[in-house]
Amino acid sequence: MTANYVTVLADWDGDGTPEDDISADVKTFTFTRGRDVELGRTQAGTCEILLRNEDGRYSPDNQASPLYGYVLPGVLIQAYYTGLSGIVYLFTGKINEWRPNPRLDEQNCYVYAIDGMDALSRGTANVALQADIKSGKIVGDVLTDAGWPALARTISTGEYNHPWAHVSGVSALEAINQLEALEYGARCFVDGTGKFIWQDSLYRQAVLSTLTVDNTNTHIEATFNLLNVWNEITCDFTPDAELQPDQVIYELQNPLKAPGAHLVKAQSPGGWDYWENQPVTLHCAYQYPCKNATFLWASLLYYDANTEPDGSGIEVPHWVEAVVKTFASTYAEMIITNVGGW
Amino acid sequence: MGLFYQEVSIVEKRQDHYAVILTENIAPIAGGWYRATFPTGIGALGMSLMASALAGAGGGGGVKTTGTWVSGDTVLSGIDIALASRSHHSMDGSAFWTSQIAVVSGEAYSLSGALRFTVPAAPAGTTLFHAQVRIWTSGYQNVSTVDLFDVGVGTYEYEVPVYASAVSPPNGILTDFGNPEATDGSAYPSGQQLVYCTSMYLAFHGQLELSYYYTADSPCDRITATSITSTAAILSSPDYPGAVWTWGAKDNPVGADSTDGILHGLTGDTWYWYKLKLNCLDTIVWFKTLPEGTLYIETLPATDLDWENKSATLNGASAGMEQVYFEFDITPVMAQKSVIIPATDYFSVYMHHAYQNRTYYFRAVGIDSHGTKYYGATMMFELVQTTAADAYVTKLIIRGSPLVPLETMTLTASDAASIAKYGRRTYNLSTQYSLNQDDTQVILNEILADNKDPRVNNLIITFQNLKAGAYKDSVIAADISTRITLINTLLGLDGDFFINNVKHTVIEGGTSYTVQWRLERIYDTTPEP
Repeated sequence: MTANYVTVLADWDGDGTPEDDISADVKTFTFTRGRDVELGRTQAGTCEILLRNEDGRYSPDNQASPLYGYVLPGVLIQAYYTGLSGIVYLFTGKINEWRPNPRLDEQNCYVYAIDGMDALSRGTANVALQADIKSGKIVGDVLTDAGWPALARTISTGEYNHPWAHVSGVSALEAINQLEALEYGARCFVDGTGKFIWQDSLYRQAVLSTLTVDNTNTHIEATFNLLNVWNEITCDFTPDAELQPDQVIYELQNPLKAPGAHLVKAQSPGGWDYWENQPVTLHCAYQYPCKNATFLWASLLYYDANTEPDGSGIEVPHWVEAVVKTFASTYAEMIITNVGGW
Repeated sequence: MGLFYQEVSIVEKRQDHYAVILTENIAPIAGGWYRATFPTGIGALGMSLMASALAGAGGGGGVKTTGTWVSGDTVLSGIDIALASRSHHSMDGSAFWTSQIAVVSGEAYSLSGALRFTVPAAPAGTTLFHAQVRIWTSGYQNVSTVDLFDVGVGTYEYEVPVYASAVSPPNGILTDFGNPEATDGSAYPSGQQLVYCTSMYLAFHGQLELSYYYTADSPCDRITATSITSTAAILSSPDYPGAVWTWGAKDNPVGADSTDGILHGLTGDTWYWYKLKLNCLDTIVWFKTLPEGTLYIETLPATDLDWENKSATLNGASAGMEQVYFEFDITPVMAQKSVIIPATDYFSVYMHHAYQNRTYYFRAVGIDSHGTKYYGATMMFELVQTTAADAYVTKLIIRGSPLVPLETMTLTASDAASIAKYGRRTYNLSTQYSLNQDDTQVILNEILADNKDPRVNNLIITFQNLKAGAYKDSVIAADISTRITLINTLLGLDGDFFINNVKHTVIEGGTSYTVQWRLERIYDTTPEP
């Protein structure tokens, strides 16, 4: 590969390895990551690419394109720079948007991609209540809950001890951002290889300067203003909390209907009708965050079902299956399925 | 009249020769048959029987009428041992016939199946004796692997095979060789008995399983497993009509191997009904004594016809079947499906409720040792689903250990001088996490110290078109939290900064490369390394 060159790869076949070189079609390539302001939050890294598209190969609906069927959102891309000193990975992320422009004086395709931080902002994170842990453990648990690969992360331990910690009801990115804000000086980001980086507040203390920058070849913008003046810092704080003994933390207040299976009619001639269960999801919110939440569905001490909502019918606990979908620290989700009401 | 059915070891399996000897030194029984089964792609074209005949009824000590082995497609002297058709026309079964013709004509081997021929009757006054069975090809094809070679020994005749001596015939005669318990129990008083066997005409090579009972009034070490083996020929020839065989068994099971087959008994021993296994030539796999007339197959109604549980088991019984399976949906409009049932005597098929709400037709099918199918009666089931009923969860409790917060307060760090100068500017640290009070206060103090006074912020450095080299590489490689030393005399800057944000813009693969950083000054609260 030529030195001083940026290579852009796409993963058309979706095998997780970007190996299809589209560099020759790249007109411009821009990426950014990190915080905009010092006390701000780390944003997801983004990338914008302008591709040549004279032959329409990057037009998603162009059936004549050799890439037809592959030009879709979600394609993994990776860019790296080949310098005299070796390779520097610049950006790894997934394409969010294809925007081909067929105008004769344009004939290009704008591509917008975003790194893995974006995926962390999509789902709700749940980390069980734990005692005496540091930020690195919490971040690791959040990433694991979000399905982030264990090998694609570098996590610092964390400076402070959290007497209690849990994550519930927020996105994984929000959970990590809050931790980043509390542990002043900590940073999180997704690096050029796609690896998640958590640098605790002690991290920068061990970093030495590796580069000296002077006036040469640089343009500097320096701003003085009041935007980052803060002279009163507040934090709502609970100085003490007490773990209570094992007890009932949720009890069903009203009968929950578990509908029987419904008949699905065959869609094609000669097909067979079949019965399909109709599970429902029960959201069980606790009053306080809880540790070691359990549901013993097999015991009628904890669970019962009846053919009538007021309990006057036949007791049919064996009709109903209750499977725990989630034991979060502040709620549980139960999948209730009527498998026997036939 | 019944049928023996045996499997014997293949003497030789060779794929590099035009002919393979399947077995030798057998005693062919007129009316019996020999069959070789092949996998897909047969190369065999015919079978032959080479046999000699011994003169004299009964055969024992007889003299060969011809001393030369000759191939089966040659007429032995005095013995018409020629098969129905000679040479490669020797197998029966029209399907295979057609197949073989195709093979001979050079078409691809794509067939599997078996070759079989029936042993002809020996000429009057002679007995078929030593014989050898070969499988062979046309001479240019190798014989494919023979999966199985088995022998139908032919008719097996007996009349009043055994009876007990304690009672006089015909009382106590075991009239059913396969089911002695069905006979008169009074014929088997406890104690020892002498058992006679008359007109026994057995022909078998290998393990024979006989489920009948004898007692003996003398030690029965005369017939041990070893002696049984050695006496197989005796048993398999009609040389001993009216011979008296005496044996008995103690209440120890007789196993399948020869060491367990030693039978002996003493006067006064108590004898029981016994399953006796005679291991003769170590080659018989199984043995059936069921007369043809008892072959049957039937299907019993499902155990739960109202389908309360939305599943049911369909039971059946059979006798004399090699294999049993169910066919269902056998009406013309439905595709026929089948379910193989592993058992053959008693079998059942379980219908899961997933298949309900429609009509099924069932039929049990059995296949006997000859491949003949026996069909049970067709049954019809209409499986109708009742209306799905709802259920109500009336009780559901989750247990756990709640963490109950005791107090909540707001911690504050403020700087009066800064407030007086710039007005109150509040930064609230909103988080769901909690540290202890001291740690939290330390953090608030640090934030206050770093931010209570105006300072350069959003310091942005832009590099454009750096000359290729190590410096450019370092600038491009710098990432978040990279520490740099920034010197700009015009701005009065000379200190270290951390990169908080990077932005790269590349045109045409790198002909133009711009790097931009947003920097954060190292604060006093951040200790120097």
